[in-house]
Amino acid sequence: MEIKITHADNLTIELTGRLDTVTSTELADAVAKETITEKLVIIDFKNLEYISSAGLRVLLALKKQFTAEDRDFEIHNLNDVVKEVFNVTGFINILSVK
Amino acid sequence: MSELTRNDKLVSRKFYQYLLPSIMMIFAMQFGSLLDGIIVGNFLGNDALSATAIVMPILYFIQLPGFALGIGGSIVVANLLGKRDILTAKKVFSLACIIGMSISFIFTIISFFVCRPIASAFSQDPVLLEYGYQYIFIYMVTDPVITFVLLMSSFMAVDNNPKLSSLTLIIGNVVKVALEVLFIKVFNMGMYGAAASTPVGYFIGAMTVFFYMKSKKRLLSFTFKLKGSQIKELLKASASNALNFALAAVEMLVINIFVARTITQDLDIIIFGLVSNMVFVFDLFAGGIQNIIPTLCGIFYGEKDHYSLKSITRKIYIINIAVTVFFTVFILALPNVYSTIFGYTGSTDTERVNFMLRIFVLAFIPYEINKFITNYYPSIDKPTVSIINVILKDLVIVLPVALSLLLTRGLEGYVISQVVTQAAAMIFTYVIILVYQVVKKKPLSIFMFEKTEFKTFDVSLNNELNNASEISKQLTDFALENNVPNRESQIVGLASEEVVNNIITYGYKKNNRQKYIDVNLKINEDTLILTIRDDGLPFDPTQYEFDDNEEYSTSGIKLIKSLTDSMSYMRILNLNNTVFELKIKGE
Repeated sequence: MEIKITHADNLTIELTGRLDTVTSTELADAVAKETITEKLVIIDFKNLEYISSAGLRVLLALKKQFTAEDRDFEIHNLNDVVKEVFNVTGFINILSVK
Repeated sequence: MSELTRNDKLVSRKFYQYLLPSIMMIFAMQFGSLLDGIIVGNFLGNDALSATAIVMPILYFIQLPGFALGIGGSIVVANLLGKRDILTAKKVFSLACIIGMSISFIFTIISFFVCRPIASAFSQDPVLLEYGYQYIFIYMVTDPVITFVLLMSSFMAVDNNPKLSSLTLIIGNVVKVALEVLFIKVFNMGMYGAAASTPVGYFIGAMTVFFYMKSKKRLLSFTFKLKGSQIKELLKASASNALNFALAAVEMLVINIFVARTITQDLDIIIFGLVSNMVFVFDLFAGGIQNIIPTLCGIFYGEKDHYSLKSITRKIYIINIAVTVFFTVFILALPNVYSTIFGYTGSTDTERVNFMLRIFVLAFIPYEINKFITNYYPSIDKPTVSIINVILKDLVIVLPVALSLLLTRGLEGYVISQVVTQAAAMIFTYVIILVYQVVKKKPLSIFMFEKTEFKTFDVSLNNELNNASEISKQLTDFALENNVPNRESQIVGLASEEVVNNIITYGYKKNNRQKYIDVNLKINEDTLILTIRDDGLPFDPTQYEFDDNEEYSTSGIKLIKSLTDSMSYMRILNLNNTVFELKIKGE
């Protein structure tokens, strides 16, 4: 999986490929290394093909971290399959999905 | 990461876990019979021993329902468990028990009327007749016990309990031998005691059935909701073994009669004893190998797991042939060692004894292959091959050839006939198989392996966590390459990742050894079937309890249960089998 992090008005994390057992830890590590000053963090799923429960758990951890840090956290551009995963797991209700 | 491939490491471990108890079980049974003969001969005398030998074919018939329906029934049950059709498996199990036990109770009833006439048909000598009568009467009147043990032992092996299955007959035979001495020497029960030790010993062995009933791994249970079509399946699978038993009994009967008439020289009688015992000694060690065929081959055939079926079948065949070749070479090289073990120390005519033993042992390789044919083909739903082989072996070839050679050339003729007939039956059967395959334009294979009719992705993984990601990716790619829509391709990938992740994290947690997981995807026209198999801690994901009221869930199991059309679980061959079905709905 490719992770591209851009600091601007918002922090944007673009994911390309698959967010699974192996790559979810890569995402967690990559975010942990960043010094975040922005109020809004966006994860862009435009090029994300696939997500598994390991990926969901990392998103949940990030959501908890950002909420504690008083940041907003959004997920953008889900494809149909990822959206279905969000729907059946209830993640659609707890994460801000655009 | 390189392409994942399939290996047989997971199923091979199962093979050895089933092989050892099976070898021990057959050893116990054969050794029990051997000691039985020694005890009867030493404590009750030669007349008693002769009487048991004379009525032996009748014992074959008495034990036939237990053996044939046990093996035949376990084959059908194995096929059905492989197909995950547990309901029909229960029906076949129940049906085999009902039919087997009914026949055995009929034997009990008629034993009061038929045993004396049967015994008198076998011998006119009043002493032998009385011994023979007592022996078959006890076996017949107690047949329900023996039939029950034989049936349950077969079904326990196929139903996740190979050790209990073996233990039943090991305990049964150990107790039998101990009781036999007790009954004869302490209670002076004579031949009645010698015979009664078997059902009493088996009854005690059957205590293992209580543990089986309590076993969490047990899938089979009794049901009365039966159908006629299952009787047909059951009888079809049992036919070759039943026929084999029945014809072997007939062959033994006829040959024994003619041998008794034709072979009169003392030396030839000794040689006949030596060659007859050779089969017995060989089966003592080799018998257990083939005993696992119905269970393992039956289940893999039912699962349409062609890879495991091929791997295990070849393994059984090769081990079997290797043991037989070793035995054959041993006898060819050192026949006098064998004859000395059996008490023949005569210094004259050693050449004749050695010559006969060397010729006779040549029958063992085809003999063992014929036995393989009897056991294997019903397990892959080709019982006709076995039936043809049995009829060729026991009826069409053996009897006429054996009798004509016996009558014209005496013992030498008999020994040669065994080699010729076993080899001829084997060759004819293989020729028939090959001609059938050519005519039907099927792939040529002596094991009649079939080509898989599905597009299949079949791999084995070791327990490294990154394999959970890798399998998902490769499975999805395979599905996409085979025109499965993106949604379904991603979901099967997801299901494999979640289950494999779960197995490695929890199922194999306590184990540092390298472990394996088999993953198989079959693409049908409108359905995807994903099967994941592991030998970790027993875990049934369908029984996993979820909190339906929670706002969200990160449970992988709950996720894939929601996304697939069905998720089922079965513990087969002591392996966790998780199966998902997903209908292809299109883009």
